[in-house]
Amino acid sequence: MTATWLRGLLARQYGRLLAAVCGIALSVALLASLGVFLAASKSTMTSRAASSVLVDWQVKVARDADPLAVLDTVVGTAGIRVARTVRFAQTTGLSAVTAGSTQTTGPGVVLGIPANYASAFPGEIRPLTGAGSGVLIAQQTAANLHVAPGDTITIGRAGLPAAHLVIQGVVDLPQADSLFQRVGAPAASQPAAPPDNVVLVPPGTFADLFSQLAAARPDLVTTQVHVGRNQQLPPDPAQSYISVVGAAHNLEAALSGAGVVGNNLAAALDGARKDASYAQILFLFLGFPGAVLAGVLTAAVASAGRARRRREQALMRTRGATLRKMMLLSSAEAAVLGLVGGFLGLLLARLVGSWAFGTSSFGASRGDALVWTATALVVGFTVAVVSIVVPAVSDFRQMTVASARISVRRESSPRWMRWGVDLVLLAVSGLVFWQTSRGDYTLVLAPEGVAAISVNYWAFLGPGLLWIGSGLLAWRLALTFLRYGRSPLTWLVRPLTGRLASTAAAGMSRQRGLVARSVVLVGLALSFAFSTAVFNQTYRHQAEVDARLTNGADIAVTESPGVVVGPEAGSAIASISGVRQVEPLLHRFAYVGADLQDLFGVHPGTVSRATSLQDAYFQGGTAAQLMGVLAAHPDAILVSDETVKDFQLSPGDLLNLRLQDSRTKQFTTVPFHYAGIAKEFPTAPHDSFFVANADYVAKATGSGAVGTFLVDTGGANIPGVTAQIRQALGTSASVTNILTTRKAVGSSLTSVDLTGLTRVELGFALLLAAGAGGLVLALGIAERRRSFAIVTVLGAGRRQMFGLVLSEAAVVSALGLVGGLVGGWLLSQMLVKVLTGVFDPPPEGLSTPTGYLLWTLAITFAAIFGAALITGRAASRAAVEQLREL
Amino acid sequence: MSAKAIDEDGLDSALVRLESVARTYGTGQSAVVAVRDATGSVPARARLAVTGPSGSGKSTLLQLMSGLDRPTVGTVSWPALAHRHLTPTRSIAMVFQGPSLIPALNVEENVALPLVLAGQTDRDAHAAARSALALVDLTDLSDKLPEELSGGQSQRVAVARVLASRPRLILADEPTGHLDAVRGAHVIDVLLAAADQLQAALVISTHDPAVADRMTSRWRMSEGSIRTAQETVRL
Ligand SMILES: Nc1ncnc2c1ncn2[C@@H]1O[C@H](COP(=O)(O)OP(=O)(O)O)[C@@H](O)[C@H]1O
Ligand SMILES: [Mg+2]
Repeated sequence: MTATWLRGLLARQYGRLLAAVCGIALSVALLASLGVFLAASKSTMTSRAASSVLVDWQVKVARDADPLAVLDTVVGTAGIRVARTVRFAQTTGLSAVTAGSTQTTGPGVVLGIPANYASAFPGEIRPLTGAGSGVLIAQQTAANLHVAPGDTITIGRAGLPAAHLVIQGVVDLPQADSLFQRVGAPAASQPAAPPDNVVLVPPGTFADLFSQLAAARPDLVTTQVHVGRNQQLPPDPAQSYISVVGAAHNLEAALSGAGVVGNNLAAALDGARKDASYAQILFLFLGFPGAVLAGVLTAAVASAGRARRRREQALMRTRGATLRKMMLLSSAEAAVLGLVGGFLGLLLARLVGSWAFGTSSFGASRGDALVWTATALVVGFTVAVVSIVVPAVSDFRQMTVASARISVRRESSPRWMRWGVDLVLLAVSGLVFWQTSRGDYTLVLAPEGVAAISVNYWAFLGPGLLWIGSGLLAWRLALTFLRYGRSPLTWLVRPLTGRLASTAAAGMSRQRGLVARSVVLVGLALSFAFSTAVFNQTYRHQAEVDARLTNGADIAVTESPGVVVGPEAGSAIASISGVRQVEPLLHRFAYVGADLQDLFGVHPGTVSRATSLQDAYFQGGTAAQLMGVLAAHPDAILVSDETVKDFQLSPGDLLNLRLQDSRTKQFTTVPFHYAGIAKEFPTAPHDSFFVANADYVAKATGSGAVGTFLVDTGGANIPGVTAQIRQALGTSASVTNILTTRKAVGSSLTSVDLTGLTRVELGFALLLAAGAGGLVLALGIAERRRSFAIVTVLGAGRRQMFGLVLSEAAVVSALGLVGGLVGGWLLSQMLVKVLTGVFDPPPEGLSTPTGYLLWTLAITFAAIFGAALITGRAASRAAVEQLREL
Repeated sequence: MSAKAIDEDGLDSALVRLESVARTYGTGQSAVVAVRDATGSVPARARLAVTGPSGSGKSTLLQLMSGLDRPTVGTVSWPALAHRHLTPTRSIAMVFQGPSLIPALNVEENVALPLVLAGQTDRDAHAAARSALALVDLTDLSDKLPEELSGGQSQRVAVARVLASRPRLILADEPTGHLDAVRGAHVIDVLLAAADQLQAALVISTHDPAVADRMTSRWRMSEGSIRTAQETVRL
């Protein structure tokens, strides 16, 4: 009997079945695609984090332990690619005599580096000038001492006479922070900054200099084993983190106290796993509503056969069918639909995955993939069961043969409306939002060193309830409008229906349930598309801002250390074709108390021509206001939050900085006045820095030497212009552009291929909006086929028929559009606010992708009106056949 | 089925004329011939019963007469109604066996609908609808929705809708099919009264002899053919 039933369904209702299968496939595909996105972005995060770390582990050898034994143990451990012994010695200070003057520095560090270190950890030591090995000096130390290769420096040793060495090369240490970490110490007691004064020497030289000191003061001379690992990491950063931490613990156990592991790799993966949870959250926020919408749409499609099903059920009942039998039959129907829809959905997701993310695997691991596939299929089944079995059973329970017809009785409002469920949901949503947007709440909490990440899932309630609540409220408003607003409704449809306007309005008003359902679905689909698009656009804009902040401008020309170039060099760059603006940025180091910070000198009137200054970078005024202050008061200065706290500054306070005078090379006191806070600035580091007026700085230091030229190309042909500038300037400056920076910024989500997610989401959103519009309207009209047949029989002309159908399309479009725009706007506001943690820096406002939205609206309305025309034609054509059932 | 009804001026006064009309549903093996070789005419003010068992082609015949359906073979024409070969929907009105009111419109709006469709203003159409409802004694129900009506009431509203559009030919397809004898008789009363009021012809299909007996002429149908025609036309 079941097979017969299914065959019967296929023969008579294949249109409805097809639509239901499509709906199920859509929701499964959306979920599974997001799974693919997660898998792809997680493994990207892991590999990016792993490759950002040059020295994976720094094993600090305990004071009494034998470094060779530790090295042996390390090399004997599984998953080790390379291990090198590095020695550290504290010096009391460095000094050098150049051009008749003596420069002295404070305490520093001398490293004993083996000759094969550079090849074992490429990039850890970057040669700048002179030889790449031998006695090397860090670039900033060389600057402090005014030395170059060939010069002699003096190294102070505690309790011993100073030693003299000839410098052979100047190097840069890009990962100085981790290189000079205090291994084994908690994050809070790590040094705030790496040492300023660093000299690197071969192991033999190191032994000559410090073996005596090591014996006398073992606290000043330490040994580390630097380790590069080659173990295959799991694609999921959280799992990688756990595995790397575990491996380090194993090594420490094997060393039994002889060494402590400084786990740089785990630290990087720690950040990545945080980003991965953000990715997961993004999926929930952005993808889930889409899947729910597809499910609701499926349910709407499935319920469209209700009138017919009721009639069939009535018949079956008279033939003695039981509830059990009924459940069996509808479950069979649901199972077939769920299975077919589910597999189609997975297939679609595979295609989408390889197109948008370059992968078609459903999870970061095999287990993940299984879970994702199973979840997606279960969702497909659930949608099928909820939309087919549940209504069938409830119909069967309540139904008498006589009532097997859809009712338009002047029924009382639905229960949720009387109870005000929509208003309650909105109120709770507002409350949660208020709670979560108050100051110090974090969406993702990944305490360092703790394997578990906690995600504040509460925050989801805000947008989630807003979405549901606003959908219900839209329903309520649509019902209320259709019920009481008959005269504006009549006015609205008159252009399409002429004399029939009040009849059309009366019909819609009485069948307001059907019309309101269409309105709500169209509204929800549009608000989904709208909020997704706005969020994605805002996100992209912020990624752009982030890259621009890091690189400074489209192209940044950074002068090499020691090269003095005045602002006039800017005109040479400006003459290159494709360059629109060139803006010089002065860069100095300034002491505030004992603290050395970067100082940037800007031309406040013109700086924003080449770079963008967002208000979010500053505090105490907008970007424009603070630049105005710098212009009006040349001795004004913007400082970091921290400096304000440390020095208890209030606006207008005097702040004395010590800057190096280019003529005497001496640090002299320069007075500034505190004017505001700069949290971020193009090319500036993430920690403390100053921003001041370039002319004032140049006058005070006796030099207009430029640190960086910010070049604006208007966004056009950036690679080409970069190449031309490189060619023109040679090796005297490093030229970077925003495109390469964008790829390199952090390990954070910003650089993860959200473009893929965006494409998928926008695609689905469009599909859903068009589907909701077209399908729902067509179904609504199909449900009233009989009415349309009667109207035809009573003498309605073609134009009158289309007028009736189109007027409904117009009402659904207009109300749906209003609901979608309002709901979408609110939702994007809340999304961006709740997901602030994803953004770095936080956005100034929402960016609206007008083009996409217009397209979505156009396609949705085209679908609605197309469906109206097609069903309208079908309704009037089929009138004669319908007559048989009259 | 014999001679044409020609009036004194020599004009064809038949409201609808069927000439060797056949209607086949579907094609090939599954084809069903619902009406075959039907010839006949309905003069003005006729009171015609079309009788026959279920499936004999009554409904199909009435639909062909109304112009809602086209014959596969033969011609249907409406000599006395405005355009000879165009469907004169405005002067023909039909009452159906099943519920034919629009569920979303109330009784008065349902009755007014054909008039609005014909281009009358809302006000005129509703005035006409109210007087039609008064004629069939249903003024009380004008605000009700179709689903709040009984079967007999619904059919009377359908009759009121016919009345309101003032047709010259009323076709009623088993209007009492779903009703008990008493209610059925009442609907026929109303239909006859309406036809008298409008001076229109009335064609009723039925398998109920009691209904057929109240008409003045009868076409008996069986397997798609009109077997006997008792054309006793009384003007
Ligand atoms: N739309 C249709 N498609 C196929 N067959 C039809 C259709 N309408 C009527 N028939 C068939 O035509 C024959 C006559 O039907 P009908 O005119 O409804 O007879 P009656 O009204 O006397 O019961 C029946 O056999 C019926 O099954
Ligand atoms: Mg019939």
